[in-house]
Amino acid sequence: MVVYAITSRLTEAAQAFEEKYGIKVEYSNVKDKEIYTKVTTEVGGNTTGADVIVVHDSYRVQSQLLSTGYCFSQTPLSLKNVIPTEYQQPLIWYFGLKLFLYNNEFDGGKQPFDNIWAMTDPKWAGSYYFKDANSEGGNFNFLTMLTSPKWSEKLAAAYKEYYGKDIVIPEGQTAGHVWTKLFLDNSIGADSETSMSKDIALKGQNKQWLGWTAYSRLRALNDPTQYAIDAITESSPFSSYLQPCYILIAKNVKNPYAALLWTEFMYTDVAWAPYGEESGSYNVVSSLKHSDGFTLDYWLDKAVVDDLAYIYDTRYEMEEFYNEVYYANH
Amino acid sequence: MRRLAAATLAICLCLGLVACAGNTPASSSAPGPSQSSETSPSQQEISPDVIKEPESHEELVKLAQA
Repeated sequence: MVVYAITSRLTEAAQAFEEKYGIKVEYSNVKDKEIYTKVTTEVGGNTTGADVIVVHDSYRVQSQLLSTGYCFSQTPLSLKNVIPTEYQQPLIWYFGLKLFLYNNEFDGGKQPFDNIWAMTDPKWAGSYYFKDANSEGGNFNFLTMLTSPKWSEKLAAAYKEYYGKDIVIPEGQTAGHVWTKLFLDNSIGADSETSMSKDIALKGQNKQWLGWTAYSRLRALNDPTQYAIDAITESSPFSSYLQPCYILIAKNVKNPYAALLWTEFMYTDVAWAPYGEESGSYNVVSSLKHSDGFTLDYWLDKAVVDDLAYIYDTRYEMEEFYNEVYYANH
Repeated sequence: MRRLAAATLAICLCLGLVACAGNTPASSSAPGPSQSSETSPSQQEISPDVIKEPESHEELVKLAQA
């Protein structure tokens, strides 16, 4: 059985699956920006490829894999009463958390802000990193969701809290567009979230840096002699973004029953172990361990979460808007 | 009567073509914004299971190992 995944941490799970069931797993870690084209090319050409695909860009999942019929989603029978129904179509494995990390050697280590509009304030201009969404599809989905009625309404209220006046929204836009434009105007582009996080965390700097990235980056920055970093967990109207990671099966699956068995295996302690040990990964099966002390339910109250239908219908508009704004000053 | 039968046949053929088209994946496209007339997920019904999974887990394991 062949598995393509955007994660590098399924090697041990593949070995454990082989040992338990005697079924050989060929596991490939494929980059997010390559995996969709690879799968569509292979399935479209009916050539040998993946049986199971593990991916996390909601827009590409829907537009390139599901709507085309190249992949489908199926929840194993044993999990139908275990995984909440809203995470079954398509099947979500876990959510990865993104938020602002900040250097905590300033102001006694306190969070530098508690309202997301602070990022649009001139005092933070040029102080935070945001990886270009054209290289990080999750960032596009996050910004797209901010233009939804739910988040635009919340952002408009938070604007008034922060600036003390009503927001002025250009015709045809939303409060999400206004925040996105001002946020991008103040941001510094970054090619890599790994190096960005390290730059933020280094001790002894004379300026406080921040950056929007995965909470899991903290894992590599836990040496207190070199790094001083923390996460902004409380902010109005949101502090974070939950990015889903999906498990799909290829339309031309060669080993359908093994694919289902593998899908089921992904929700075991063994497969989940490397993720449960880090910060910011939350399985949709709540009994699976989350060692950072938080739960998915905790973040659902504070995070922007993908709405597949909304993203599918509107992301191209955000891509146009973003590229116009981003490339005007980056 | 014959006219009614012919009309029914024509409708059936049309429906058949639509069904076939629905089962045919669109041509492979490069990543990029989609503005096609594909069905929005909000309009889709939850599809039935594609793989007929046996009720018994042991049977699933046997089939997977076969």
